Amino acid sequence: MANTYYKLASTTIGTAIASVTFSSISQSYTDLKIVGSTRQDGTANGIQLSLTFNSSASGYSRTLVYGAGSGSPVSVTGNSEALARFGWAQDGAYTANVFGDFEIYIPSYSGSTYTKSFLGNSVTENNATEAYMGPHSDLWTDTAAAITSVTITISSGTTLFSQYSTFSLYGIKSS
Amino acid sequence: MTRPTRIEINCETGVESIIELTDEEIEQNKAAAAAWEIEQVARDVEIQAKADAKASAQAKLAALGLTAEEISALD
Repeated sequence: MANTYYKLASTTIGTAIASVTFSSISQSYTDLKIVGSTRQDGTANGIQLSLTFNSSASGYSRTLVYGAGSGSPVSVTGNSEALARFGWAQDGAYTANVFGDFEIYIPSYSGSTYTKSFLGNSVTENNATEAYMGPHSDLWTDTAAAITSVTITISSGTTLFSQYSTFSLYGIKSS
Repeated sequence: MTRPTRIEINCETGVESIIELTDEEIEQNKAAAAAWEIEQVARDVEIQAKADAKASAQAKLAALGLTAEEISALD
């Protein structure tokens, strides 16, 4: 990574969990980046990832364009949602021991002048026809507050992130 | 049944805590999953409708006397 990247925190999941929260995020950087490698412990099709800032459960908008390995690409949008859905956790039925990937870039996360947005990509990896991939952009209009915590969740009531899923948070200076 | 947990990493101290999800968090996750399912169904319906319309159009063109090669040239 460029020398303006500072690793603020990183974790590898030991036992299956529902979400990862990075809290008490320093306000000393310009932007944030989150990189993840995930797999879910269930076999439901295309379980989505979602994100919330500062434990807020309102004001998220999203645009997502994706392909699923067959058919034409599809776009989906949403407004005023309780969380920002942005990608997929690798399906547990997909090729064994392979993890999906995502990255999120959050520009100007500090300060309280502007509402916050983020963009990124997510892919799943499968040695078969079906696999999900797509770019997304999301907006948090609930407040212009500085982002002090970020939570990445697997959007299911029962499915969890599998062991060895990893999540890393970087602060970026002078981007 | 064991309640799902989450990890919280304090970026200031580096301390990792394992915390049980609240009922509200569990319900929120279920709602998001349900919303995605609805979007998936809508997507499948849209794809099928396009495929059906295409097959119908091709059948009508064939009835007008176009060859299969001529029809595929319109794709």
